[in-house]
Amino acid sequence: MRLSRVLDPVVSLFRERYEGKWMLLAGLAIVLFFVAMAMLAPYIAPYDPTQLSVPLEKALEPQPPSWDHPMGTNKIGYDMFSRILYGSRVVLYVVITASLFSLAVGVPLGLVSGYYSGKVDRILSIIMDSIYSFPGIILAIAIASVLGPSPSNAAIALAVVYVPTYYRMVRGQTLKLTQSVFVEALRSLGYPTRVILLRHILPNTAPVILVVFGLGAADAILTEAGLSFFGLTVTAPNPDWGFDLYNGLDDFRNGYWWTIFFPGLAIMLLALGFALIGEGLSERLALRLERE
Amino acid sequence: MAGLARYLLLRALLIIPTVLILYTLVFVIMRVIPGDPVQAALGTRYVPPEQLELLRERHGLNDPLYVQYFEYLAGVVRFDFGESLVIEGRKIADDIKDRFPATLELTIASFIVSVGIGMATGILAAVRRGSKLDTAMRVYSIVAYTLFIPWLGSILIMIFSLWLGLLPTHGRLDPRISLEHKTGLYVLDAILTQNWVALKDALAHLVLPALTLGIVLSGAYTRLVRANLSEALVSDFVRAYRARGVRERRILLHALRNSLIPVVTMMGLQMAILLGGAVLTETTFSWPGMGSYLLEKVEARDYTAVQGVVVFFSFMVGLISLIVDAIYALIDPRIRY
Amino acid sequence: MALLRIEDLNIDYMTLRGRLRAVKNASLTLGEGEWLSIVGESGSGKSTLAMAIPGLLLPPGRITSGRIIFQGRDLTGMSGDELRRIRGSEIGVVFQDPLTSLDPLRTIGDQMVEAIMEHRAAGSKREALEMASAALESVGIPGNRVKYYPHQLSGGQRQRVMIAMAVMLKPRLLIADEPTTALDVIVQASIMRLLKSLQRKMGMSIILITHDIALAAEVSDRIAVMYAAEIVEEGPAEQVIEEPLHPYTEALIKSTPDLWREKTLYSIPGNPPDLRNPPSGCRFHPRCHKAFEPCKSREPRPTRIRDRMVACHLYG
Repeated sequence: MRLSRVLDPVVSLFRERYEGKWMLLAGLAIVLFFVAMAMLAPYIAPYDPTQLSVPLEKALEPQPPSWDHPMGTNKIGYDMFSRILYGSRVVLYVVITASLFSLAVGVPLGLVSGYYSGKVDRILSIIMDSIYSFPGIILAIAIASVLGPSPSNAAIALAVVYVPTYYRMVRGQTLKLTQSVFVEALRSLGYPTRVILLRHILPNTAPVILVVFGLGAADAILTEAGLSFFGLTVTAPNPDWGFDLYNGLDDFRNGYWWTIFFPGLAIMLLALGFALIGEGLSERLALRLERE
Repeated sequence: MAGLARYLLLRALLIIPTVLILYTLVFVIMRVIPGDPVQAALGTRYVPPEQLELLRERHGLNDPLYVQYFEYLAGVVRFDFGESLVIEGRKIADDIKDRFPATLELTIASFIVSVGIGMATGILAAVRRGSKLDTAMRVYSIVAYTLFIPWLGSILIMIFSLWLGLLPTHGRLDPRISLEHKTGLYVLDAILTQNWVALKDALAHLVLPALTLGIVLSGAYTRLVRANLSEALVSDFVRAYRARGVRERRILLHALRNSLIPVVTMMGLQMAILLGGAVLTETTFSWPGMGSYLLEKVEARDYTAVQGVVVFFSFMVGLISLIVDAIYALIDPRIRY
Repeated sequence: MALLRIEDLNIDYMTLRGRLRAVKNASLTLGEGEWLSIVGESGSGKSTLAMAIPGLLLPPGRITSGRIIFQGRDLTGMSGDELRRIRGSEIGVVFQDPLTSLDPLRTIGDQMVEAIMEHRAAGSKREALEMASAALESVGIPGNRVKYYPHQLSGGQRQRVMIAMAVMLKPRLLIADEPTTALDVIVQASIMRLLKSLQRKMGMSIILITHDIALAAEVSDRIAVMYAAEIVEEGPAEQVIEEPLHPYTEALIKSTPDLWREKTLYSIPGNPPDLRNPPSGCRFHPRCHKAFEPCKSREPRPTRIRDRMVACHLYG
């Protein structure tokens, strides 16, 4: 019963016809494509991403894309296509772990803060707004640099950065709902706070949380790429898109465009996928608000 | 206007909690991590234990945590962000003084580019609402935002520097050109000293980084201007202007002015994102600002420097939102404090 | 010669779900110095008809046929710029909501001066500003209020400002679209008095759009009644009120408390029709207690009875 209350508004997003639906579908297609890529990487990658994939004499110079190496090789002879495939695992792991963590912390805090708008709310809001208004990538770099380079540490850094995003959205939504006649009625009927929050307010914020998840993940992918670019998610020779891009900067200037082109394209596409999901959903929500 | 001054002073005081919160966050993270920052900064180099102890003493790392916390804070008030762990005796504040003007110049230029592109595309989309052009602009606003800065920067370098040979690939100024540094903003310095050769070169160096960062940030303005302007264009006061026989071009201007208010409120947040984006842009273009500095210090594990950068940026963010508030108050007469 | 003659005007809205005729075969004549009120429920097309005159239809509204002859010239055939020159100088418009009809970021003086300069009605900005403050005085607002921003004025004052803006260039025609609906009752009365006195002083014609037939009865020379995009009755105000010809007009009057002193207030049965799919024959027949055989199948033709017009089979 409770699950269907959460899921129904979500399912209805896909059923109805509306202008932004193509964005939602395209976004889902892109994200699912990358998820499949990450899961199947060991089966479809033609080479080990951390092993020489060309004869030694060719390894001194990046090799251009060819049938054997659809995205070319980098300056130490690793196959870029295989590295992109494996890189998607790191990116998705970091971003999804971080987003889920931010959600798990931000949503309850937002609920509580919005429901009991008092001193706690004010203090939490100041803290969250301070972090929110600070450039996310700089904060993530600072945290990750102290923790040391690893995907899990990068995920922690990103999680800290994105908690306020969820918090602010859920708090605003909860505040609005708390002041509604509906919740007022539940209160006067003596429903316990826990029931009101979990059964009535939380399900109504679910669509908004989904929107934030989409847009937040899109942003997190770019921040992850930034961390990776700074060498803070993986260490050599492990693959990650941002890291590979950084390592390709010099080669790129010497005309080996593929050392940068494909990692950057992957970052953009995946970020675009999540952004389209968020945009499509938010358009649907705006439409519903207009109808009401 | 006395009311405005008081309001701004109040807003200025609000910078303090922001700085405190970010400082505390970074401080806590740095101190709860097991391991010794001094040892970490030295890496694998062997240093005799007694010298290590001396270094710890020097950086106050042997004091109780609360003493460390407040002593640093007392320093920050005097614009002292501590000393480098790596380069002995080097003050972080001096580094910031050296590096920040480059970031400021890049940020200002990128801001102009992003607002320019964002307004142009947003106005086009709003005026032609529902057309193919509108759809194209909406797609642009999403795609621009998802571009990874170093990637876009590299592609622009490839096109404009490597293929067309029009613009330099990195740096702020050709080393053969001399320029007297007054403000640290090279374009401004060149104008002040009437050094036209340097001006041309500084601008040429600035174009690609500013374009890169500006494009990525412009998408947010595109959508905001589009949404607000298309709403303003069907509003009652626009119809009333029309009923008085005012020319359409002038009406568009008035509608635009009204739609800019939410855009201005967004600018503070956008500026923060801009500062973050500058970090990646600088690294891509070897632009010697705070971003490159941060990368150097992260690689050297110079944690006091990293901490200093965060605290400094939290000041900047607060200052920016203060400026945005002032602009907001100037363009909207309804604001009375 | 009449100041304004509307001939067989048709206005369509192109919506996603098809074409919607908001005004159908409307014809009206307005003499110099005359006050005509167009009365009807919301959605009857009265505002659309009035806004079409100065070319202020909002897209997707469009005039599909008919003519609007103003001072001998057909407004429907004019270019955008020709129409613009007429708006504000020869035709003034006052809108429903004075709170949103003023630009919140500019002083009312700036907004007035801009319009004056657009029509080259003053030689200099200073002269224009003097005109503006004189116009404010003429609607009972101190002239120095030109320096005020809209938010510094009350709702009633803002509507006076809107009126001042509409009449400052001495138009021959003033169109007022529900000018008092957004205001409270006392302010309503003073605004109507102001319009009446301005009309007398300047000798201009007025078209008032209202849903309030009692209000129309008080101030108008003539009344036109619209129902479902059509003008169903038109004539001198007293005659229309005292002796309504169309059953809809009668129902409208009966449902107005001031005019019909019955204990229980009458309300018209049923709902206004969906204009995408109007009823056959006379559009009012499903709600009409006098409906008989031809009403369902044939559309009634407008019939002239002395200087009155009615579109109803009872008189055909």
